[in-house]
Amino acid sequence: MVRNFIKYLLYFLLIVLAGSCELVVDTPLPKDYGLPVYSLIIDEEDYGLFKKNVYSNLKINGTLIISGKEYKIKIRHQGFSSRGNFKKNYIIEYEMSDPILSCPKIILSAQAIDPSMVRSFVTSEIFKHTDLYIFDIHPVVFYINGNYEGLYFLIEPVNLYFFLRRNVKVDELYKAFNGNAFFSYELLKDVKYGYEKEYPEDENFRSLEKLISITSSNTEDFPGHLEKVFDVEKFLQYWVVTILTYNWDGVIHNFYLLKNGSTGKYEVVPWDLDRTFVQEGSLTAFPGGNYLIQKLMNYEKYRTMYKNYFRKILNDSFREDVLFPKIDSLKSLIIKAYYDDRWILSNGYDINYETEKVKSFIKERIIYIENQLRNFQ
Amino acid sequence: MTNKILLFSNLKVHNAFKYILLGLAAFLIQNVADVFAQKKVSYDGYFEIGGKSEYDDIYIESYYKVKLETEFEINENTKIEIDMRSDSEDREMRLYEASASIDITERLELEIGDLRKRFGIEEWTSREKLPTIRRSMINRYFEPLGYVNREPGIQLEWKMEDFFISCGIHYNESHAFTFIARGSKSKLAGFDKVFAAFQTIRTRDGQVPHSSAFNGGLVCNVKGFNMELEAFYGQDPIESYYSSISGEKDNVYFSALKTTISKKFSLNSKVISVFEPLLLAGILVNDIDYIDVNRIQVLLGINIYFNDNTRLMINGDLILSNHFYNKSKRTLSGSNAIIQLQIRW
Repeated sequence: MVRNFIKYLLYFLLIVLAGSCELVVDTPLPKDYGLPVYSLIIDEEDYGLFKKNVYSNLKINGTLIISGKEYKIKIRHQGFSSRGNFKKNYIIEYEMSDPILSCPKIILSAQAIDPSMVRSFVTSEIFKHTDLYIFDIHPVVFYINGNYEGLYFLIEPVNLYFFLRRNVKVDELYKAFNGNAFFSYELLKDVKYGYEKEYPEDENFRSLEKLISITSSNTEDFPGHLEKVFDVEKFLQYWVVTILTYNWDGVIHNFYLLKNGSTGKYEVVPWDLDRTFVQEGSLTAFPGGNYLIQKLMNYEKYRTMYKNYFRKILNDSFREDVLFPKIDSLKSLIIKAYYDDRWILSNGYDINYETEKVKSFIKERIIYIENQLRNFQ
Repeated sequence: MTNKILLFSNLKVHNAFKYILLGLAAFLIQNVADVFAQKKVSYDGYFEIGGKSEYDDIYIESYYKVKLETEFEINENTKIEIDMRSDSEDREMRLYEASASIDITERLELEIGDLRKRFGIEEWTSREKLPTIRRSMINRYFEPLGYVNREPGIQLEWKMEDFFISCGIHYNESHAFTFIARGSKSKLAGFDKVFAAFQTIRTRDGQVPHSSAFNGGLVCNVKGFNMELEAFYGQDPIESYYSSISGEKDNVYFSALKTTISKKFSLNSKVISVFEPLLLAGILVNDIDYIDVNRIQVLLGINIYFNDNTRLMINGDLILSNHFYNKSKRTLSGSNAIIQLQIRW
């Protein structure tokens, strides 16, 4: 019985093999999407392990092939709430540096909550017209072990190297996180609940605690005290773009606080801009649902500055004739990769419809802000 | 806010799991009180050196790999295993596995640690003891689906004469629980061994759906020919996710069949002791609704044993794949040839 079983099994395998070899062709070359190709090769066992560590920061070794050149890298999952998304974000650490962003660590962002895939890019373009430091962002196509993972965006992380590239001296760097990055001790009992120290890596929060105690205080010369330690102008500019783009996710977290080594002042650095151009909640209703911005609005000089920044950005960058061509050119750059992205396709997203929604939002937002400014003294 | 609620509800489950682990750890400590008076330490491992040529690659890639496994026999009932590995690619030692096993009774054993899920023959056999250099294409397909390889967990094994039963629970850092059960019976219906395994993965905090898989097979030896035959059936969570969000079917089921046939020929030579030709053949259907879209693996190999622990392995691995949109044509993508010298200790 056993012998017959083996015999018939072998016959079966032979028939399957003969039937399968009817036509063998070369492996098709990866499709040309007109975007840089980031092709990651990881050992299968490591890949299995990696997939089982979505919520940990396990780093896996791999080889990244970019334009035919091999780079030794380490990869790990990135993000907080986004880790549950099916399309993942990654942090890639190079032995040397990324050939496009020229930094040793980059983020490969799936932008999984932005069906248009243009929001982060467009918002970062608006920030470029302010005095704030803003990360670089580039679209790429990403493969793992030869399988197309979809359209991704390379994002430059905000870290020591980010400021080194911009010749900025860093005294301290904090990341606003956990939805608790308030500027008042009434709301924030301990700064550690809302701010994560990125640099230097120590537990000394005294300088930040001092800043929050000043922003929380109601002293007579509040502006005078505040301006000594905080770059109010940059904060107002941050809020102008936040209001214009409806960046509600950047109010109580998702920004950095840099203590600039040259000025000795804290300043805001924007981060994570993919939840923009969508009306959600009331935090970004004009003039802004933030403790500090509301406090600053009690002072005429800040109101005037705020209004002037709105006027400047509305004149310089938040305009249909400036932003729409940027949206269209990015759309035409990513459209092929977008429509081959399985995750995007399965969700039934359409780039034309989604970018039109962003454009409509911008049009409506300009009208809304213009109306608000008319009555804002 | 929704995420916070989810995290909190998960926290309860995590804590429950944590307490189970802590309880078991306490039990283990009780057993290993004389940890500093180890009765026996044994070493296991391998050194491998070889060259690999992938289809479509220009160069042959050379490599070497090392495994260092240490087993501490704490007392007659308790053992601890630590497995460290490295290779020429990474050049850094990595902790691969750490586990403890406790003999509760003569027939009942408890294992705790980073354990293999032991889903299929290739998962309950150490890689260095397999007749092939790499694991099969089917096993590799299971890696990103989470059905194979190591995960922290607890396994209980019960052995009695020809019967073997094990069950376990695993938890990983993608917040997924696995419940796995395996049973085998030796000497049944003319076969040396018949076995079956079932596992179900319950996911949390993510969009990857729950999934389950079944494996069954047999092992037999006829006139010195050692044959293994295995079948696999289950849900592909990744394809199921894509299919369900596209508004198509909720579950995509895969199916696979694999056989390995080998025979060891003893030689009366001072240099070569055993010559072992082998054939591994397998077929993998990613979606059983489209059985004509599949991947076929045919691996031909030779193992030349210089002694029990040293062998030269040569594998020619042909993988033929077609695509849903082009069923009549197949590519050789993933095919490779490898030559390797392996020394075990």
